[in-house]
Amino acid sequence: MLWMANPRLLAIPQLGFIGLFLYGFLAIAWSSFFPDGVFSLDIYASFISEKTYQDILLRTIQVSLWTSAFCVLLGYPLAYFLARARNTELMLLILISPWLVSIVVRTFGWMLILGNVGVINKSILALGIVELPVRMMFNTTGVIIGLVHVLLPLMVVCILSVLVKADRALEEAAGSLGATPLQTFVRVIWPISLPGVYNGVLLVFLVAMGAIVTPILLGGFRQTMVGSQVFQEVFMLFNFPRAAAYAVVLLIVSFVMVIPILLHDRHLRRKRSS
Amino acid sequence: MKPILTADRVEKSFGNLRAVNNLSFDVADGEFLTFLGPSGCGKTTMLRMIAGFEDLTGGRLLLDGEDLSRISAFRRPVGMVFQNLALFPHMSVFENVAFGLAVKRQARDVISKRVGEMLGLVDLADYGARMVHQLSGGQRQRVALARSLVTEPRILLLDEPLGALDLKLRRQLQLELRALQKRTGTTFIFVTHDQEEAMCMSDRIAVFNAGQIEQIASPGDIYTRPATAFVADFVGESNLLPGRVRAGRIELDDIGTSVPDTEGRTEGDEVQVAIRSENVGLSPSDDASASGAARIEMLEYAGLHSKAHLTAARTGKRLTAIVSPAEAVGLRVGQGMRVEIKEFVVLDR
Repeated sequence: MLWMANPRLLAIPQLGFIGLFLYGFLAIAWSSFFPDGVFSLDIYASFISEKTYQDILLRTIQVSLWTSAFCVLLGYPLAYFLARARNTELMLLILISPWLVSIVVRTFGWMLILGNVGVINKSILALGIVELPVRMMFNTTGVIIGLVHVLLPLMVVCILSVLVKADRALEEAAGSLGATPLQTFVRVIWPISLPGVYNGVLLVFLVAMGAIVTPILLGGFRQTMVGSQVFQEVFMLFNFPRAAAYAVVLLIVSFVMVIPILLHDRHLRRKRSS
Repeated sequence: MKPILTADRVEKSFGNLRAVNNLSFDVADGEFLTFLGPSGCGKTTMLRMIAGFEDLTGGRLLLDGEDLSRISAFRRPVGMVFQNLALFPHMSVFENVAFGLAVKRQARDVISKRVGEMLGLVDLADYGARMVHQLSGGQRQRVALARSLVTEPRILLLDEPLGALDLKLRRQLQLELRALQKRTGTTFIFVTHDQEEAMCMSDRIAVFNAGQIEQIASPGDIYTRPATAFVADFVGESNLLPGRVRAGRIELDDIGTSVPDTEGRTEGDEVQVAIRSENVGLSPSDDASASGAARIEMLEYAGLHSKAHLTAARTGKRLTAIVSPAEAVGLRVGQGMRVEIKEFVVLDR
């Protein structure tokens, strides 16, 4: 078997996929530099000069950061308890089960809950907590809620994979040396689980940056993110070059934003294993 | 002198399983005490209860006279070295050893000085900057020790810490541990299933069996005066022969001889007699079928510890005798031998 002699050959199929993706992407990017067949940087220039486009990008980044933050805040305790649960596999199955349902269907479900006449608003109006319905849909709040719901299992799995490998005795060792439970968490558990958190943040952030369905259904087309904007450009405005330009900008910005995480993660890996 | 630790009728049950059954013992300040026993005998459970990682289901533990049940693990002045060491993988040697001081928010120069002293004590003076994964097994051991001792605990608990090391390294570290304990004067409680390890390091050994302590005494006493059949068999190699008291002597039917009864036991009593393999003397029998004879089934040549495995002619009971290399040369499988008992212990249990 050829790949037993040189395992690197197994990367060839993956390279094939990456190659296809690159080809497709470059083809699209090409059209953003050549709208109407002539080289022009007008589209990119308008991104810089017009505020609408900057708003869209900024909004996308904000939503993705908030989503990542909430996923860590909610996902870490979940992963921690799952790691110590007696039937971790069963718990994991339950956690993953929402993914068995189509993302579109789930997001519609959120519309029923978050809408002005949805479950939440009906309850709090009836209880007299508020006088007018709280706007939780067709704004960034709704999008964040929807994205967190979808991406939380991803974060939990990333953190869980590191926590289950961690030696249980480490916590006891810290305790035997006099560390309070809080100190044990801050000095031992958190630093050790950090690579898992980085992985989770990386994945959640990037998926959120490129999200389309949830921003459309829960965010509407008045305050768009890059994903919903591209959808609008392609299927409603038929402006392919501009859609392509958005895609290129998204790629570059996303990459730049995750560089700090990648660097620190590599630093940690170098430091902690030979 | 007041004991540093007292176990008072301590019990630990996991559901229906009695892991530790009504244990009471004292630990003297500054002694090296070993919990010795086979797997699953409760020694590690007892250790973990002292550390505070398991709750007692009965009885009390007193440290310097104070009941430990109200004190959680991280507040106890008790340190622990774990079986797999549990060194912090994301910290350097220095940071590992400094941990106990750092969590107490000691000043940086104090930490620096104490850690330096500790590393010097375990012969790792220049290793402060190394990461844990860069160390050998023996070096990691010493880091784990330094880490636990730097906080100057009243008692240091060690849970089979030498298990993962090769024989030569183990022997070396056993001696180093012993020396370290004497130098620091810290009370050590050591758990192991290796009786040679226990014998060479301890001031006293507590032999555990199924949640109970069969005997707690110095290594010498454990070896020459085992209290029960279990202790006699677990530590060193013993032959256990049933005997009956008759006319001031104890008759051993298997080999057809008798040994004196120095305790004046009741006539007709049945006892167990433990005879160490090195106390079984063999001499060639004039007549192979005569009583008092045993036949050699197998010979083991192992230098100083050469052994002859025999079966008693009368009852077929198996016996082991240690023979000197010189003797071993003259023995043959199938040969009939006379058995002479040099020293023995009578077990009433």
